[in-house]
Amino acid sequence: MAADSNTLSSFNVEEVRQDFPILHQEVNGARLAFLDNAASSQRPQAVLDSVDHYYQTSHANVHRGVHTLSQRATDLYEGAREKIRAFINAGSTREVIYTSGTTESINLLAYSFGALLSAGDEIIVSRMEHHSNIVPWKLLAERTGVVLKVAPVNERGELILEELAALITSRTKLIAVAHVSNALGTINPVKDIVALARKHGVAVLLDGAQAAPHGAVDVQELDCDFYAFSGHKMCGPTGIGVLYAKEEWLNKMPPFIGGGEMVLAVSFEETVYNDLPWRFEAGTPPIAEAIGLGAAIDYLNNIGIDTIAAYEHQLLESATSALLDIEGLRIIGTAEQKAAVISFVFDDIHPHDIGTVLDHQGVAIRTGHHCANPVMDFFGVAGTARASLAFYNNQEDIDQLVKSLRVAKEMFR
Amino acid sequence: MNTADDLTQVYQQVVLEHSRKPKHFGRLENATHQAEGFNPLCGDKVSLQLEIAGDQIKAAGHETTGCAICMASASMMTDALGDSTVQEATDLAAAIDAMLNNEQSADKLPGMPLDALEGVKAYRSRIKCATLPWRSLEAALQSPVTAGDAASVTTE
Repeated sequence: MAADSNTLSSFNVEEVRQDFPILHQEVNGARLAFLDNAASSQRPQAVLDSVDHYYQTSHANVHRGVHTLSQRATDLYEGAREKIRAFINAGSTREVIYTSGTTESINLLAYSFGALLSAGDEIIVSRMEHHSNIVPWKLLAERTGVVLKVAPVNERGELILEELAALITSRTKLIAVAHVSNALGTINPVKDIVALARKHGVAVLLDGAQAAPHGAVDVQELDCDFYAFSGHKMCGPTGIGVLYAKEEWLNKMPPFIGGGEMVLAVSFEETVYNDLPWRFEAGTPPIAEAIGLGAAIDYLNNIGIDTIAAYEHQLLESATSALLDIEGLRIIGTAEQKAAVISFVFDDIHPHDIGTVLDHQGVAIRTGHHCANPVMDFFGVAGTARASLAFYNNQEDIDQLVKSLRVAKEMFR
Repeated sequence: MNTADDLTQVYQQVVLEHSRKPKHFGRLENATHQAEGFNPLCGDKVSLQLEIAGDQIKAAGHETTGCAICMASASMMTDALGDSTVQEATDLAAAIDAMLNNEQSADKLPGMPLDALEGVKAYRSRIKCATLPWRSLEAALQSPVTAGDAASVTTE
């Protein structure tokens, strides 16, 4: 995700901003500077239109009817799956499972992959994980006696690879780590982690919620076993997400949620499960949301994911240096490889007080523990203020952030 | 929409003073009642101790880690409890709750300058910051130290 000035020659952020109606408003009497993209991104008009158009012209249940609308809805819904497959370069749409989001993706895995494990088997997560990549594994551990181990991070917020390696034993079955940390912005060395896991015959889940919107993801090149991400963090609708899983695993794993759609035939004696990927998708799916995610992927591809990564890296560098110029501000998470997430503490002003004063000046940031209590504890803070950038942010947003922080400093002096 | 006035109302001088130099900060030696309050959403914590003789509150002390609003609220509260009876403290906690939940205006409140907390009403996401110490008070009044561990209460 390094900056490359060539990829940026055609990128015009002001044109891009025109695609996002929500950005053009005042909040509390000030220009909106939306810097809470790691929590949820905004949507371009093209995504809003695609969902709208679907409901106005093509909605019916998918895979059910012989009638025209059902066929149209199915084509759009499955067409979106193909767009997602291409976006992450999965080998087949059989490996692309729709979920409600990253959280459900990981819960599916904890249940279905978890069913292949026995008491005493081990799963390794990292200290910087989001709660959604901790709690499902803890639930599994409580249910089955699987052991959860935690790989430490260093003071820059980087995973300590040697210590992760030292945790691996003959009982280790899975390493589950964030591709990019939501709380710190750290980009983990996922290729090294997969290589390490391969040596020991261990499977790897990458939580890509913060990575997929900000840089190219190629699951075949990464060679991870599982990759999870959410639509709403990448300009798509809420309520839709993806679990990529290698087919060899899907063939071994039992289904997660039971119901219609995931079966071919049901009697009280026997259930014949559907083919992949539908075996893991029970009930009427989020059809419009999947179609909207497909439209979001079209939109991102049109700009170019490498262009997005390069531009965001430029913004990150600009914002980081501007913030470091403010006396008393300390950035939490200073990894060498970082995505455009800046967590910080500021003098002894509580993050919530910072958040309220910034909101007053139109600046939306996230404050608190970012659903990552363990890593907050590691840094000895109850929470941080976090500015997270997207490709539709501009220098004016960063200037506004800096200016509003100076107001906060003055106020709490 | 919140205005600049709302902001100066919530972070008015008296609130900032209390948050910078909280009163009655620290543990009481002769505490008879205590409770721990916790807001899991933001990590704010209030450890509240009371010394009660008969129905009279003799002293109140707190150890609070939290935002300016939570700290100021705990400071003002312990200041206001000085020589209240248990009944008065209970009524005050209920009145603050009613005020912050928009059921009653601040001018009905005894023990000014607690009305300074009223500015928080403009910020729905911050009301729990102000109520946490009061929830801890309600719990502490019911929790004699001899009963063992301090009672715990959360904003959720």
